[in-house]
Amino acid sequence: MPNYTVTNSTVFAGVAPNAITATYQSLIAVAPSTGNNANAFSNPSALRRGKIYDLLVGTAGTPADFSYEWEMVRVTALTTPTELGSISSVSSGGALDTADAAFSTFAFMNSSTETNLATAGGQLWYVGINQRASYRWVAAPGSELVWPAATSTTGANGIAVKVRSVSGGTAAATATVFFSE
Amino acid sequence: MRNPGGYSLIVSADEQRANFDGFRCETIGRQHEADTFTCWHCNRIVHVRARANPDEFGSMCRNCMKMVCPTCADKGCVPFLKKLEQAEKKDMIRRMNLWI
Repeated sequence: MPNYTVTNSTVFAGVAPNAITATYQSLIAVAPSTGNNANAFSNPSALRRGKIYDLLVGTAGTPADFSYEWEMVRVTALTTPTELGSISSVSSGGALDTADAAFSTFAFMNSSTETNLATAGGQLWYVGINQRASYRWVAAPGSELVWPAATSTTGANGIAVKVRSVSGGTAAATATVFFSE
Repeated sequence: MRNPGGYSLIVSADEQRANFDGFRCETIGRQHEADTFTCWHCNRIVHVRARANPDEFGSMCRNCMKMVCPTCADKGCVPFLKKLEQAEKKDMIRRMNLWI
């Protein structure tokens, strides 16, 4: 399984990170897609399962003392980018080994609307930390966060990294996700 | 812990309070490291406090012999990968019907 990385930086995502607000916003969401698959969309085997094995989160900008809540949740992600409003999508590049093909996963960065990323299912990861802190999680082999090779009709087909402010901070949040598919 | 399912690292400018997994607060130093495990029943990450009693952060399922989170500790054994396969099969059947 080839490894990939996506980040919500302005260069990679094509959209600047949003300021953190009091409600949860998606920084990165990943979901299965037939995007770069050679198979036709109607081929039931075209979707691929993916695994998140590394996560880095933090904030950019002037340091301040605010508390932020970070979470990873299962989402029902529609896989048509035109339906995603101002969510930017990148379905090429990101391979750690340049010999690998681009990923077929849909990766949505810097969401400003959660309309097409409905929370479905459980919270997979949660930490509440100060704005000055940065966090990293690395999975041991076999303990990755897995999303199914299924469409949105079955629900909970993607995983989103989200953040919200608890005490009023408005910094720009940064996140990087490593995954394999 | 023995055979952890992952590793977490928090680097901060100063000592602070941190909330882990929604059920445990802890004062952490400038660099905080913790082992994690991924619940075998719901795929959730749980941070493990060093030298903690295993009952504090979940349990070991006596059926699949894997670590499970506090939420899944009192429930039956349905491994997450099995749930995933069921969802994929259900979705594939739907798409095959559309295809035909």
